Amino acid sequence: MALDTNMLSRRKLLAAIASVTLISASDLKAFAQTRAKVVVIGGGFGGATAARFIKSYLPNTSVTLIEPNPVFTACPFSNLVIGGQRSIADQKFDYRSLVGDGIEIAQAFATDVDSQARTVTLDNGSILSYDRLIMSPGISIRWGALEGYDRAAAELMPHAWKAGTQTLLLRRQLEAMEDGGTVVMSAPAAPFRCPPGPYERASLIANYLKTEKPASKLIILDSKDTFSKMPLFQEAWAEHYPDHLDWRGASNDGRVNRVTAETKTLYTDFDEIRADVANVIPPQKAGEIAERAGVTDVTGWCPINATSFESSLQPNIHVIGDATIANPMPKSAFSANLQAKVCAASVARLLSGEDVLPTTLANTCYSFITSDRAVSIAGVYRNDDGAFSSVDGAGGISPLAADAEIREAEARQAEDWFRTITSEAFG
Amino acid sequence: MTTIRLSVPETADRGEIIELRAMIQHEMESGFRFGSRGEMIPQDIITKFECFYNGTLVFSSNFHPGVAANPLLKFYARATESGSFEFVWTDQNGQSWSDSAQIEVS
Amino acid sequence: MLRPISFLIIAGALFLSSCSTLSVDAEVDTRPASERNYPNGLSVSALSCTGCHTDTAGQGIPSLAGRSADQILASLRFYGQPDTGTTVMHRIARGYTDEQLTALADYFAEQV
Repeated sequence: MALDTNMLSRRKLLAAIASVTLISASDLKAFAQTRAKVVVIGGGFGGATAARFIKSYLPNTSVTLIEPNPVFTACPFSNLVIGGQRSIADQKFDYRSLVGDGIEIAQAFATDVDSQARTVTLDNGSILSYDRLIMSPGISIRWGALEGYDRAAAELMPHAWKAGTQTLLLRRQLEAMEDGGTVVMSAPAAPFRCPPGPYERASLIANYLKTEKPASKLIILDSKDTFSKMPLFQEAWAEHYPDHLDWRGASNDGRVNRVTAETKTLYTDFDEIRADVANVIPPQKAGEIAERAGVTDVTGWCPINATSFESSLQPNIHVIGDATIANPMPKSAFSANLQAKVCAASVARLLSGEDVLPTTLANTCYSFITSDRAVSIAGVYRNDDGAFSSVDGAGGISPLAADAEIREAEARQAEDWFRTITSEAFG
Repeated sequence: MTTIRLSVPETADRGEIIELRAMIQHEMESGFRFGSRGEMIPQDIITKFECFYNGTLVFSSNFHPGVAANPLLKFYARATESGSFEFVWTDQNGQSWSDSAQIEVS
Repeated sequence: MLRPISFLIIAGALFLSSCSTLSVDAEVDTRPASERNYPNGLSVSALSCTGCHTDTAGQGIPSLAGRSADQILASLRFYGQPDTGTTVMHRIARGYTDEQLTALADYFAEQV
């Protein structure tokens, strides 16, 4: 196999270098421990976790996290804010623990990456150099990909697909809507951040309408015919929201191809639908800095080596989280956090002159279907030979037709998961 | 159950150019994609679309891999007489689906 | 004079390792854990667990603190049985070999 040949030749080369210069692996490690610089771009679930784990694995390495916002607002559980069950304050996390860990925080936008010079330029003019760069840039909206949906339109028809002001805007619009109104959600084609997210949100909006505005209705216009946890959501909708939620798939003319923000009108191929509140979840791509760093391909997402998380396109740059092409691993906070940890282990090994190791990875995503019931999807993956694959016989969704106690137990597990993962990422 | 959506004006003036739209639910699996375990997903596509106006073929199209799922066609015809537009899709295995809509021409 | 030269060679070696895509389970760092801060071999897979399991128990997810390797392994094996149970652990445990489950149980028993 080609891999084996490469490995041998590389080993021979390293051995040759070592024999000539008498540099041992422990010297390499000493070099890494004392001089290596790791820069992390993006302070979300991926970036914050990566920074903390690198610092813990290689305590003498300088770790800098670049993040323009002093406070992070988490997307998981933000649908409960939209549904009225949770305060946005519970979604906010700062970086004080990271500072306590000895991580430098550069509160700025990364505006450019030079992979040859191994530098990152910030919008405050400073330039950071690195030995290894970990990018966790999240998503950016493909403005204009949906005709009529630009930044101004998002102020009238919020996407709320990045948590914070958009989340609150959608919540306020729902609160201000008179009973009897129509809420319309447009769900995009894959890939996008958080595959079950639109349907959890739809459940919680329908829950709000049912309890507070019972003459109102939610219509989901979907660019797909199938979606994550579909049988579980459809079961929940039939049970809890038969009069408050309609889903229209792509083959039933559900694909929105144009919007007019001023009138809150959404156009499909055959229809036009006027909304009182419109939540347009638009097409997405990797966060913008990824494109400038040259780590995106024609899809707008980042191809990576699944074992090392190193970019397939640029050396010494690792990419994790929603921005990556990591399917069958989903674009979830769980995946981003786990990829960050595995990537940190890989970077620590590489900086210590060792090879990266493949491993088994798991993902779990909980979705609320009512304010106190949840369903889940889980998957188990391998990252051998630079590619992700699902492990046969593992993973899947919660049982259908399950008792309320099972759904309530999964809601409690979801709460625990959120508490644990945010503490692992932000301290 | 395969969903078909048609848009044909209910009425038209004689000689008027009318817009016709037709969409069918279909995966249009290209045959070039791989599943999560690396297996190739076999090709399954519609290969032919035809539109008949009172039995006369007025529009047809051949589909190939690369045509999107749930293909939508939008095209134009001249309204000459009252009657029906029939839309027919045929897949690579010869299976076909059809639906029709009436038009009143005055 | 020697130092800059060896520095360049080290940089070259690091670049080489960055280009490699090789990754083999067999290549395990055999140094004792006390000499390594980063995870090694099978313990990398424990990273999948710590996003949910901490040393404090929640309302829904148990803590692994204070449990013996035997206790943890017995639970993992139970979860891994086909067609039992409703939690995510049943669906996850089936993705691991018995060797992997044993290594995970040993790892978490050692942590506390």
